Amino acid sequence: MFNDVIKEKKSLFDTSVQTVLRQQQNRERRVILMNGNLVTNVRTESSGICGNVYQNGVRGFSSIAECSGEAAEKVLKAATENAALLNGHLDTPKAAYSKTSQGIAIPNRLIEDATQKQIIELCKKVDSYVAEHYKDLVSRLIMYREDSMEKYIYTSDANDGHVSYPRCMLYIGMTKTTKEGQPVEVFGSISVSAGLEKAFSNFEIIRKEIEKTYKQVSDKAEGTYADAGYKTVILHPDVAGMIAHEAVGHTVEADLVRGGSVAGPNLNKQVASELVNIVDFAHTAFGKDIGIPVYLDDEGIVAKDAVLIENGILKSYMHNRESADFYGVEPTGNARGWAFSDEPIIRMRNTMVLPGKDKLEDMIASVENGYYLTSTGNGQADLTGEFMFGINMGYEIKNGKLGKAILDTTVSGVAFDMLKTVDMVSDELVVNAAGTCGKKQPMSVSMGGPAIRCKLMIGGR
Amino acid sequence: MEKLQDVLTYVKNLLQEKNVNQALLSIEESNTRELTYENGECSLLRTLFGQTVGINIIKNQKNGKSQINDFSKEALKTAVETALSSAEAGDADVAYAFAKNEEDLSICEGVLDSDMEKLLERVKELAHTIKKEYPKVQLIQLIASHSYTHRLVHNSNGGDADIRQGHYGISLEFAGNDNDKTAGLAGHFVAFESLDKPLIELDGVRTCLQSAVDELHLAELTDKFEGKVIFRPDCASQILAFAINCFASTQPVLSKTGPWIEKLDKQVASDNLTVKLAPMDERIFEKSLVTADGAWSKDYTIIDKGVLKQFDIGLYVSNKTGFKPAPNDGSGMIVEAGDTALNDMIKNVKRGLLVGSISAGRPSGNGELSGVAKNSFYIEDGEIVGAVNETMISMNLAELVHNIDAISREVWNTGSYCMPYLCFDGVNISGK
Repeated sequence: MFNDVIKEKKSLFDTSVQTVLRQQQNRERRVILMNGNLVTNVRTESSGICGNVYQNGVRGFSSIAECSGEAAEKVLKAATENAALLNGHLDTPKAAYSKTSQGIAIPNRLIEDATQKQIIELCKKVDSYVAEHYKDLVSRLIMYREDSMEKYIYTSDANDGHVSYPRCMLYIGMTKTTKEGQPVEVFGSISVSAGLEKAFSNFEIIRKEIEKTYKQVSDKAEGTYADAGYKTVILHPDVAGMIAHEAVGHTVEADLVRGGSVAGPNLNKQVASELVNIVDFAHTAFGKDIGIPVYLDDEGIVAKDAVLIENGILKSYMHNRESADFYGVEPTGNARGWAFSDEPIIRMRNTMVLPGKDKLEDMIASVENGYYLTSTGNGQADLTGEFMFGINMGYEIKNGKLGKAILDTTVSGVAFDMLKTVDMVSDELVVNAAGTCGKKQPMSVSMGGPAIRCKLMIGGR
Repeated sequence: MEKLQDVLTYVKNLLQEKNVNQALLSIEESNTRELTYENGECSLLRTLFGQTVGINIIKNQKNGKSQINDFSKEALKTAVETALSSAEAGDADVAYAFAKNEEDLSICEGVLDSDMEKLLERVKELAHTIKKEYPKVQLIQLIASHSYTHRLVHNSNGGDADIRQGHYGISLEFAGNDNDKTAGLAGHFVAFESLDKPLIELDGVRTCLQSAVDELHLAELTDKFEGKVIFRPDCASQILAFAINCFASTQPVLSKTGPWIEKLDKQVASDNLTVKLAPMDERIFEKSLVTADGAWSKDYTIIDKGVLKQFDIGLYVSNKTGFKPAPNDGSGMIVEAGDTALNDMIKNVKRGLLVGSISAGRPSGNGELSGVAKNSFYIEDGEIVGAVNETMISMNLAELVHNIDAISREVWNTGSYCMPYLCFDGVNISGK
């Protein structure tokens, strides 16, 4: 049990400043089986308290790896002193954060902690299945990872709350060799915003992912290099989600807009085809929980959806309290910190391209010479909107039909140029909750979308 | 000291009660102070009090680990139980082992106490210098920090370590900016031990800032060709780390895949390339002094004149495969200076790029790597023509390291690596 030890310390808040006190626990469970060998078997728990004090435009922050009333008092004192120190160096004091709603949020889900035995048994079951059914693999890797977090948040002038974010992921890696003896690998994954039992009790779902992964690695072993250049591509929903996150999402985080991102001068302008709609959902989409639901952020702001692009027009940014005041809008509840020792910064939550009306098969049939890109690795974006992400799996499209698989490559483009080339959007929405975004701190995020047809640069030979 | 020693003794006693004879324990406390400068002012000051307990045990040849950051007796008891139950849940494997050390280790190095007033002055001075000398650079964020750690390690196979370390670090994020024209995002990190000189003089800072300004002037590059690429030291260290991870680390060695698996003591790179992994080198401040297996880190040469001398693997993979375990965990990459001045290196490029960073996915198991050339410049007939955008480069890392054309005299020492510019031939370059 992770018990609240900070509630009573609200009475110690300095009334001349704006304060947030947060108690947080992160739990990580990790098991890796490499060719059946248990190479990683670890359980990590990290908990502590932080204080975040805003005074005249500067912030003092302090954290301590201890959950007690005394620890809370220590970080409040240190954070307040840090703010006062910087305040002494300020040329021009700024106003306090604007008023916001005040209330109490309660968790919509709880963390269910699986034992290490359950985790290892699951991994061994998956590994045995793969080893038994696919003997031509040169190596296999099964990885389970859980990175759940739970927080108590108390604020001087916003909402208080208790929130939790359970998440577990299963990765299935398979390696085959090409005719030339070169290794090629493909990773399948399943991620769920829940605990192990709820996420993986149905082996049929895992079996389907295993079969899909094996087919892909077999196709890839017969694969060819992509022809480098500017190509027409169909992006699978998983890849379109990466577009929403990397190509658009980062450029419209308000702190990066202030840093000079290309989104700054483009607000309320046409930046994409009219078929493109992108939303950073807080917690609910199409009537149900989506990805990693965020109801209250770490500044005590009730999270609401941020509509980023509507019918191709850039409509708004994602905000914390500071940036919302700077731009004269309401905060969107995007401020989150990864660990108790991390200050909240603007982070995406569940960033999605919205579905359109096209059918995937029609989209593939429409391409004379291009690629269907189905799986992506990591990605990066720039202030200029230039983005890249790795493509781990994809297929040639020749005369409207899928051809050979392609070997690993990278795609890139400039967000607001590429989005203008979108001319077909499929009618399905696929959400991937396995994302971990890196921006000073890691952060669990989800992303997704339909399949889209567009043009971008593809690497290769 | 007393607190850490008390925790260590308490955990050792708990393990003894549970008849655990093989354990690797790490008890650490840390104090970090971090100053953030953004939007034209020092806007955030953080003080972080940290502590961790790592418990790694082998019982009945089964291995389990737990890590917490709570020193209370109740939490320590739970952590010991967690490590035991984790081990119990796994299978026995004779390959699980901890390293053996002949003697204890006691190290106290670096700057243990921070001078925050001085650091604050240096940060304001750096921001002022950038504004004055590089007016076309937009400083997005500057983070300056001091971190101190005190760590006790107990290895039941031999050796206790008492390590105190402290150093400063700065991380800069910036971009060239001229009215509505913005260059690509750029960054630089340096670890250092002294505040005696202005931060602008730290290795690589001026070069990266000037690069951001120069990136505002674009060159036209629309075709696809094979050419030479000069990797800036920060990018060169990334490329070599990619190659080592791709061909010589746990996964390729344990699964016996990849182009280097049969190449120990054989040529895997140009004979002008020697790569050391040397955390104990006096130029390295960001380092791991104890391996994950509990060995005291020692420097070693992984590639000597192009010959692969060692895999970057731990004791478990070593026991599984028969290859020697690496003497450290892979930090502190050092390539010594070559004999070519950077300017001469550029003059020798008919067509190619000077690449500051590469935005790329993880290389595949066979070493194929393609990515976007960022903070990069087009070179033609020995002259830098201008910056490139939307330009991709692709290469096979196993082939690339055989094609080292030149190594520069200029070396960056950033406290986490020492690296010259490296020029490689045979890279595919593709403009839009």
